[in-house]
Amino acid sequence: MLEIQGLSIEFQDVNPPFLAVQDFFLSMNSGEIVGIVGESGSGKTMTSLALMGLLKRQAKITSGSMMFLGEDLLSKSQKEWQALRGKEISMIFQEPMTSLNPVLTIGRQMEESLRLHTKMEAKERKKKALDMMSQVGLAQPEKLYRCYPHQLSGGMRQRVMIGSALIGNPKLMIADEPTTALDVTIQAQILSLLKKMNQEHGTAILFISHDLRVIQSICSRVVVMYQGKIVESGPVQTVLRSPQQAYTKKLLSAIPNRAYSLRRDRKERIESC
Amino acid sequence: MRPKKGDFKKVKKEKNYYFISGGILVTVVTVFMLVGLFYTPYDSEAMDLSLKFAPFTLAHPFGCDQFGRDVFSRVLKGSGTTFLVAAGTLIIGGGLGTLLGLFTGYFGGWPDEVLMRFNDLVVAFPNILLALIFISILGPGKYNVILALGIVFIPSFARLVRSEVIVHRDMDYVKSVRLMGGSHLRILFVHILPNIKGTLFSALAIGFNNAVLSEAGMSYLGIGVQPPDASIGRMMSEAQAYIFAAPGSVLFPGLVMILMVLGFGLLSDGCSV
Repeated sequence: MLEIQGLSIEFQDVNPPFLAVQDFFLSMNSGEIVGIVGESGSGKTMTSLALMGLLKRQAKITSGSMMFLGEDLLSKSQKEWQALRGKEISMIFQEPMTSLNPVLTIGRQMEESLRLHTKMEAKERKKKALDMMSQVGLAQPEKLYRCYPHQLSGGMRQRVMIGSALIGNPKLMIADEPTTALDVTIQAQILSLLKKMNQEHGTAILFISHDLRVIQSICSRVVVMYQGKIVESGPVQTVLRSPQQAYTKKLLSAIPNRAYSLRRDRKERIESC
Repeated sequence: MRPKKGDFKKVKKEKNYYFISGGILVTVVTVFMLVGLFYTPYDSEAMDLSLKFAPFTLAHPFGCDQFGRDVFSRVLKGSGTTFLVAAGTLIIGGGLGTLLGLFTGYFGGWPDEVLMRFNDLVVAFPNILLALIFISILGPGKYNVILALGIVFIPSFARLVRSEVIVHRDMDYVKSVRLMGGSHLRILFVHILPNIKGTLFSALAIGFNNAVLSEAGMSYLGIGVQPPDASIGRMMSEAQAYIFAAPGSVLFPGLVMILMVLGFGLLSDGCSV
């Protein structure tokens, strides 16, 4: 479904030009969940922005190709991008607290994508929005429909975001660190929600994160990025169980180990007595 | 007690006394003005020298002026003229200013620079002086006053709206509309504009007051509304010489102006609360 080959993105407003992404390969089948993992500045977000056609003016795609559903994304015009965004590819990102418009009701924002891409009647839109709200696990959708974002918690807002990204039934959803701003219990809920939506709607998810545990729990395949380059890629279990590259090993060993840190805490406490 | 799932914070609405009292005053003045458009007890321009400086009577509740014209009828008519000038000024100045501010703030770049420097130029002149220059080019009269004041009022609105738009254009909710396939125009008018309407309304109310006062000032100087048309400023300027002989013809127009300005001032405070 998605086929990225040899993608390179360069920032051309600095001298010498800064290579943000270099020779990126990715292919995704429909219904698949693929993770991109890497530290801040490794080019994960640049790649996803390129996929949405929303790179800043200074950033140029210098080589490579992106094919989506058999169409070449790189030759699309602004108008064609607008028709594609939200309809075929949608994206959610990190900050559920600020990604909803504070002065519009939840219902109004859930429907935005329908307003943009379909000619549905108001009644039909509302029905679809309410339906989607209960699908993403929001209780009392009728009541919530008329609420404003400030009345909702972070987890609820992220559910709203997911719902509004999926309401147009896109083929691909890019999730750029969707759980980073949430606490651990809510994180788990959102992850299982994403999994559920993936199974029910068949939406492929490109999951971007720096959290290896999150990637492990949701993705089938993973791409590890470092400084704009792919370091390692393959099925999650293989890559995370037996990493081949030094960087992946380092990344894995950077996960704080609970047992270890507890032991160290106790030791330090004893020593300080 | 822990709130149940689906229980939303109820936002307690306090009574907005500024808004209510401002609204009442504005309504009173508006009704007064609307009546004046269709009905005045006497012809506002009919002179009757036998009634020169007539005191307050039941037939002439506000007395008569130096030409024996009924002050009550003239105040009714005059407040309409003043209102028209102020409203016209706001439509031109507020409308164009808001549009300019929206576009320059959102898109930035060189048009923004050019327009803002031009703005600085206009702001450097005192408002009344600038309006005087326009009037001397266009010639006096009701509609030219509207045009002149309208142009003079553009920069303040453009500046205000621009600074608000700059705050909002980089917010995540704007990004998420973009990701759903919304166009720039849609973002500006459907998503950003509602966010700044509070500030805009209070600026409009203050602008209305300034326009009323400017019109009164210009008519007082003799370059605004021309006789025999009645306007609040015009009436006060004409009656000034006879303030002791016929206090009513200064007092009542002044009172109506105070009510108008106070009303809109309170409305503006109410909007910004």
